Amino acid sequence: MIKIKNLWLVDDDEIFVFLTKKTILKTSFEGNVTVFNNGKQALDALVNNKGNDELLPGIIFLDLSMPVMDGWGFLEEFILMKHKFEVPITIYIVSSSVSPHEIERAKGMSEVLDFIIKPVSRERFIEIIKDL
Amino acid sequence: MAPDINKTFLEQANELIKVNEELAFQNSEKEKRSSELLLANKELLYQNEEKEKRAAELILANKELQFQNEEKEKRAAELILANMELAYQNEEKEKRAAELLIANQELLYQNEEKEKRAAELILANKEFHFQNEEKEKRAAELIIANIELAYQNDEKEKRAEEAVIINKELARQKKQLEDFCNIISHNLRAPLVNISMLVDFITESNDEGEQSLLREKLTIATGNLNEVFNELVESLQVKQDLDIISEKLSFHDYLNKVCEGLQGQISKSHAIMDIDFSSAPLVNFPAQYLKSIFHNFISNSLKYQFPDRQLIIKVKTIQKNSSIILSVEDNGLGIDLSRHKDNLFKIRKVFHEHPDAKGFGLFITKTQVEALDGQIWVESVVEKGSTFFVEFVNQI
Repeated sequence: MIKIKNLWLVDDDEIFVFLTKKTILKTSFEGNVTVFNNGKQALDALVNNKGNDELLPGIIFLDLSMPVMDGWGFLEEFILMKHKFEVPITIYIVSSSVSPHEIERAKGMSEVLDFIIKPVSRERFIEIIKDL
Repeated sequence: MAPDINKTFLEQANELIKVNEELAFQNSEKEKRSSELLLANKELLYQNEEKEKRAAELILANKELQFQNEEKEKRAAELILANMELAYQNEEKEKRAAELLIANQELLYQNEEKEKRAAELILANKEFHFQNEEKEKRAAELIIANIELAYQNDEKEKRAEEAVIINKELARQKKQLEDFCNIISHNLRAPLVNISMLVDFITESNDEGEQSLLREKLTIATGNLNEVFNELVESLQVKQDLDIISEKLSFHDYLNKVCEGLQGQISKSHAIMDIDFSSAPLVNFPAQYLKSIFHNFISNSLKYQFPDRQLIIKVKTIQKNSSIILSVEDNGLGIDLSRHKDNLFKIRKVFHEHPDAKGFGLFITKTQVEALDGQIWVESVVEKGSTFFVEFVNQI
């Protein structure tokens, strides 16, 4: 099993980021957690680290409602450039949204593994990270 | 012979007497005759003379006749010539007549043909007339049917128009419901989720220090929830406040008031204000909303100015039919409309990394404008600037 080295948290909600990092610390995950406050920052980081597999994320927890570039904007751009990455990048949407419209939209994207509705329990995190 | 001679003599003397007598008689007769002849001769002579006179007269007459004859011959010659001419002309005329006869026959034939055609045309005409009448009948029927259809069409159009209006209203309500659903799920749920998670963490934690930190976060999360909640309440109040009073307001006065409030930022940014309300100086609108509109537009222009570029804010109004259109144009950062068009006027949507960006100003401005049936829209080019427009309706 390949160990995931990098986990990206793309979310502008400071409290949620704080609590999520805390939760991840309590799991078996030993890699790095990097936080981006919006889709644009994460996208720029992907572009900058292209070809540098050591720094690319194995998993992204992506919020939807963010300033500058929201989760959907990020996904649109990611779909256009994903073929350039040699390592698989798994994306989970992690959103407070319970809108069926958004959940349906996410399910229609093969790049999105799952749509997780906040709050995310520690058990759910352990389950996801265990599978990596 | 002697007896017989006596006798014969006697007889002869007798006979001579007799002859004599006869001769005398004849003589007298001849004399008579002669006198008669003389008379006759005279008569004849007279007659002769008369005849000679007559002959002379006849000669004269003859001459006259001969002259006349000559004259007549001349006339005859002339007449012959004239006759020949006439004969020639006659021939010509006969030829012409023959030609005319042929032409006449041709015309006659043509006439007959034409009469046939005319007869056919009369028949055809009758047929046409009949068909025409039938068509007129059909046309009359069609006109009636048409009127009926037009009436039905009108009715349907009315129904369709009603349906369009209802549809628009439904679409608007659906949109509002969707927006509201999004607001609930993103903007209200997010702080609530944080609060519930924090509460769980505090409950599970045994560490005083950690608990204290978590409680600080809880205060922030509660503040966030409160803030979002108040914003939503404000927007709902705008939507619900159907009795809000519009007044005749001076654009100039309200812009001045707003600029006074933003004086610090305006001075700091050295912004140049270019104002023109000459075409439409007054508006019928709620005072509080107009202030809010100006405040949000102007503070946005100040907030998102392009670094190291002289900020120019152009504010103007124009009258368009029964509406007034306000525009606030800046030469600031601009917005990528291809990406953000749908979210621009939504709550808690921000497009620039700015500490003061909250995503409420344009949301509440739109809510206020639409509460008065107006419209709000934007034109923008990234790094060139933005122009926000508001249409105030029913401004006559």
